[in-house]
Formats: sequence, structure tokens, C-alpha cells
Amino acid sequence: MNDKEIVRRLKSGDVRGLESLIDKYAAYVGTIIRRIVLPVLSESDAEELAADVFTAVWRSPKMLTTENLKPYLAAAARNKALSRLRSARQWQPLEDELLSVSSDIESESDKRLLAEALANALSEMESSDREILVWTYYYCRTLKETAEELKITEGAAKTRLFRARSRLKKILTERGIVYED
Amino acid sequence: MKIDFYDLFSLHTPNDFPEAGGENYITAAVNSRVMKNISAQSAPKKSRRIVKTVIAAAAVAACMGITVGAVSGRFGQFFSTLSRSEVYNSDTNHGYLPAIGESTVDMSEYYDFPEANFETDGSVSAELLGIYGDSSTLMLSIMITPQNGVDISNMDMPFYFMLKKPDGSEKFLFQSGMGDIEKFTPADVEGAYCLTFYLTEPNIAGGRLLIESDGIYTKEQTTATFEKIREYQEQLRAAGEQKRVWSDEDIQESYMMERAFYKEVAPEATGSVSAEIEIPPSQTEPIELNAYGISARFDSLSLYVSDVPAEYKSDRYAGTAHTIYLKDGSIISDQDLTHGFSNTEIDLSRFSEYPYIRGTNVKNGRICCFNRPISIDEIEKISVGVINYDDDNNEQMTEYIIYGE
Repeated sequence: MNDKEIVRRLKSGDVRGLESLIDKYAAYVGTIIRRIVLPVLSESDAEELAADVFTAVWRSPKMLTTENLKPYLAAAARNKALSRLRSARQWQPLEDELLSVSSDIESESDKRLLAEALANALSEMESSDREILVWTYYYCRTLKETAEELKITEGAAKTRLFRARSRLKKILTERGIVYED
Repeated sequence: MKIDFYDLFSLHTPNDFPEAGGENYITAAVNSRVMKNISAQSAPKKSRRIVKTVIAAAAVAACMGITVGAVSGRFGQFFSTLSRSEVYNSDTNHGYLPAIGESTVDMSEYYDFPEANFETDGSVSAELLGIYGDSSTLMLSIMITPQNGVDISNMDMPFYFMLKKPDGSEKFLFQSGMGDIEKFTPADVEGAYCLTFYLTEPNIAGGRLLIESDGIYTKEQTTATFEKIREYQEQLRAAGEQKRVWSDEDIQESYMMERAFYKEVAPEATGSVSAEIEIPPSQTEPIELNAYGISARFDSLSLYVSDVPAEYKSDRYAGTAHTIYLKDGSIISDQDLTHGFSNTEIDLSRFSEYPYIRGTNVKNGRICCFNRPISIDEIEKISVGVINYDDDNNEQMTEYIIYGE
């Protein structure tokens, strides 16, 4: 079943749409959640969180479109995983610099443009830079965990992260997405 | 606006690993948990082979009588609306019941047009185009015409339904319909839009249906509202109040919560409407089937089947299949019998799936809906298949014939 058919069935309350969605995306959603919550939380917790993502989609399918299905699931998976970590007081973000963006991140259209700009910027970066940014800021791992994941020292991770962040900021600034105060 | 890198990466969509495969164990685990959450039976996975144990039928069938319902001038428009909603692009034959010989069905026999006096805030007019249903399912279409001519085709109009049953009980109904706003195409109703809903509930016929909506919202407003609801649900879940997030036994609180959040938003186009309509009695007499501990109710537009007895389910239970075999060779099922099965005698060209399955507001049961009336006289047999995994992870289906032979 393709995404268009899945979305149509979900919106019409057809449980087969949900089953197909799970067949197609459970591993994807599960991977995102596991990368965020393991080993702090258990495999069972990860499964429960993934199930919550799909239950929420079933409950509120109105905002789904064929185009936003995968990004929506990814965002929902990340939000649920981080929310659980926060409620367990298991995650604290790095103290980090703020970016000035011309977009309103609360606006759906601006959000799409920003997402596209980020995807393009990441695709142009070295894979090592991309990896450390994604593991740190998307999967929200600590520097120590990211270093272990990438099989480098914590010191090297810190240096690489600083460098990758600067490069990303430079690309986004050149594109007019981020501006200097 | 200032954001941090975490905010920025919240917009990232990972594409560095496959969507499916590799972690199939999680797919099965998630499916099981989700189906438990929504109290629906999981549809069975594709089987490698079928072990078919045909058991003699033991059905008790009441006679079915069809009465001719009221026919209105809106008949053509109503079914035009319904068929537009039902038809969708697919390269399979989903959504269509195979024609039976040269016979045609006079749909006017199943159409009704009850009185419905909508109260509105004056910014829209509302009209019930018609309803169509049987003892377990109801489809209805509402025509909305904004008085100021605003184009609402890309907006949302959330509706809430409460069923007042003949026995006096009340129940909020899960909105199974798409409820998408469609432009009404007949030229004689300029500037009109319609919304079509599908509801299922045992004994829905003969009750009264309270229909309410508070306004018309843009997609952005809807998205923002659902985001707030999601955050609130997260808070509830974190506080250990999971049942308040969503409980299929009592969806009233969920709907009240959703409605309360919407009420905080000023509708882009106003348009509050409400009406209470009388649902006509079913025009067909449902046929109660009982065999092998399985009970089912067959009606002209639906098959409502209870859960199967626990002893039929092994530790590796995979699900059930509800199949209608028509006398002309056509087969309609909620199990895709066209893939993964061997040693079947199915003419694949005559197979289709049910256009709609509404099982979510019927605990431990499933309502399979048809898109055109089926008479019991057209049916050769009805079966309920119970599927369990064997030691080699093959799915084995035992088929219990609950009607016919």
C-alpha cells in the first residue's frame, strides 16, 4: 500500500491503513526512538513509545498528508522519546548558542522551508560532520555517548562538533536562513 | 526569532536507514501494542499456507425483508457525494464489490432523507443530503454553504456525533468518516460544500443522532490545535493518566478535550451548526449467526463479527479473517487472500477487500462494511478464519463456516 492510500485509509478510519502504516514505518520510528532512549530506557519502553506514535496518528489523522507522512512520524517519534527522557530527568541539552533565523518556526510554511534548507545543508557537508550533528542534536545524545557511537574520543567529538556546527551555521547564513545579530 | 540547534534539528527527517526491514521484531511488537491501545483486532499477516478445516454450518438465519424507503429529489446528489468519497485511486480492486451477473441494485431502496433542522450562527447554511445505513453502520452527508462565499475547500470543519439509542443510552461516536470538505459539483448548488461521514455502532438504526460543529478552521489552525492536544496528552501520559489520553470505551473525554482546544481558536470562517436527526429503522432485518462460539450479525451493508473464543487462539495468535463467499464466485474479505497463500481455490480475479472496516468502537469485534447492499440470498457462505503461527513461523488458518456450507 503506498503512502497516499495509507493516508486516505487513516483519514477514513480504516484500521487497515493503520496496519499498513505500522508495517511500513514501525522499524523507522522504532530506530529513531531507540537511538534516543537506549540504553537509558528499556527496549520495552522504546516499543511503548513507538506504539504511542502510531496510536496518536490513528487518533488524529487529519493533519496527515502524503508529503508530510514520514517527517511527521519522525518528529512525533523524536518528541515522544525526548519527552519521556525529560520526564525521567534523564536528558539535559548542551548549553548551546542560539541562532537568529528569519523564519517563524511555529509557522508550518516557514517550518517546511527551514527543514528543506537544513536537509540541503547537511547533504553538502562531510559525512563525519553530519553524523556528529545528527547524533548530538537530533538524537540528543551526550557528547560522551556520541563519541562512543562514532568510536572517537570525547575530546575529538567536542572538537568535531564545534567545527561541524560552525560549518552548518556558515552555510545557513550564506543562504539567508540564519543571520548575524 | 532565536532558536537553538536542538530546535533546528527538530526539523530533520532521518533518511540514513531503511523505513522497514531489519528490525521486524519491533513491527510485530508495535502492532500488537497499538491494536491493544485502540481495542481493535489486528488484521492477520499474509500466510504461507492455509490449513482449511471446513466444519459443517450451524447458522440460525432470520428471514430478511426489505422495505422501500423514502426517496427524495436529493437522491442523485447524495449518492454522487457518497461515491466520490468512496472511490479512490488504487491499482487494485479495493473499494468495489464485484458485480453479480447482470443484476443492478436500486439504491433508492436504501436511501432515506429524514427531517433535519440545522441551527446555525447565520454565517453558513446547513442541509442534510441524506443518510444510508443498516443496523450497524450509517453514512451521512451534510451540505454546507458559507453565506459570504468564502472558499472553504482547504479548511477543516470538525464535527462531533452523539448517538442516543432507543434504549435511552447515549454514546459519543468515533468519527470514522473522512469529513474532508469537498466542493459540491452540481451546478444548481453554487458555492456549496459537502462533508461525508461514516459511523458504525451496533444497533445504530432507530436512534437519534446529535450532530454539532463549532466552526471552520484553516489547516494551519488545525495543525496547531492538534499540536497543543498532543502536548497536553504527553503531560497526561507523563502523569500516569494514559487512560485519559484515549480510551476506546469512553471517547467522550477525548472529544471534549479536542473540542475545548478548538474553542480556544477563533475559527477562520465561522459556521457553528447543530442538528438532531432521527435515524430511520434499518430497512432490512439483520440476520443473527451463531456457530462455534462465534456470533455475527449480517445486514445489508455490514457484517458485525464478535471476537473468536480464546481457546482458538494459540500463544502465537496472528489474527482473524472475515470472509464472504458469494454464489457467483466473488469473495470479499478483510484478509488479503490474493497474496502469500498457496493451496487455495480462490479465483483471484473475483476477490476484493471490504471497502470499509470499522472495528474501533466495538470492543473485541469488527464491523466490516460493504459499499452496496448485499442480500443473504447472494451468499454461499460466510467464514471466520483464525490464524496462528506454527513453529516455523508460517501462518496457519482454520476457517470456521458460520453461514452456509
